[in-house]
Amino acid sequence: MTDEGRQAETRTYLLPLVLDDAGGNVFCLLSQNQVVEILGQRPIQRIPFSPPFLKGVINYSDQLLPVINLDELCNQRAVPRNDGYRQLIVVRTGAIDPTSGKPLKAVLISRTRVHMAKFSSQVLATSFIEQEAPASLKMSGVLRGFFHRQANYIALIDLQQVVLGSTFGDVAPAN
Amino acid sequence: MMKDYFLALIGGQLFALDKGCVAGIGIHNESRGKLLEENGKKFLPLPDGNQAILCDLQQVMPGSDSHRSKQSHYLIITVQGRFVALGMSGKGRLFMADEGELRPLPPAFTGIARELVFGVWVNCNDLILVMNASALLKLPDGITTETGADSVKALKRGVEETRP
Repeated sequence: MTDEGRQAETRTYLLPLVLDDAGGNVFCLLSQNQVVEILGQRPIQRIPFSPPFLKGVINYSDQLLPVINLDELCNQRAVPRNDGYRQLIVVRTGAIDPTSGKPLKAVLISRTRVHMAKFSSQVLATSFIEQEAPASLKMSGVLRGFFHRQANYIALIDLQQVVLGSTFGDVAPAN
Repeated sequence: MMKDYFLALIGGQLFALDKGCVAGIGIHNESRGKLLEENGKKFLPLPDGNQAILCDLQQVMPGSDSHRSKQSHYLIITVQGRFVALGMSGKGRLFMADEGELRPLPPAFTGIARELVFGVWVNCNDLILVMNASALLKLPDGITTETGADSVKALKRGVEETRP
């Protein structure tokens, strides 16, 4: 067994992202600690006048959680697509609700099945090469890091600003 | 505290409005009258000579194209002395609910969305959005509907006709 294999591995989840200006496969990397649960399809309650990337709310464990489509958050100039989804990923965001003082969770939409991957700390430290991120990701306001590994690109995101509603304003009606 | 609300299905979503602001129910019927148009806004003529400004909330819901549902009726409400006609599916109905059970929207929803929907009731798998009627008057002009002509079937104070 290699040194890499002997080390404790960290389980991660890779959420495929569809970016209009990316040159290859891009995945959003979520740590095991971030992911609470992966759900199948369920009704999403849509809220009028919310931005296109906020698909609505769901009731999860007696909490109302915002449902976020990262593809549309990162491609805000593109025409919103409504071709369904396959999974909903409940994630911890690290943000605290200023009113209730409770940690805020969110739900991410995935069009395809989320991949699972295990990485040792050595792999995480050495084989992820930092890259210039596509403009769409940079402008999304949620990017924490962008890396290249083998044939894929990995994005690290921070949803705190989104779940606190502090980055995006009102939405104009569709014409 | 328990209070009476009117429940309307708009764009496939359940909305609740304070019963006190509901003036009546109108029916979509292109053969029975024409909408009035003024400064790009559309108005529904009411039997008493008033006009209700048309408001299509479906237009401003995420994914409105794929979820668009047929609106068979208008919910006519009074807000600060003005009438607003909201397109809805079906006739709606009255229900009672406890205001104390209302939950706020997650903080991700801001601005007009938060002003318009000031709370949510969870009813098993359904979520009922409680609408702030006065916020309807602040909505941008672009949500006036472009649907065909209509006529008002009933415009009575109260909502007797919609009782189940």
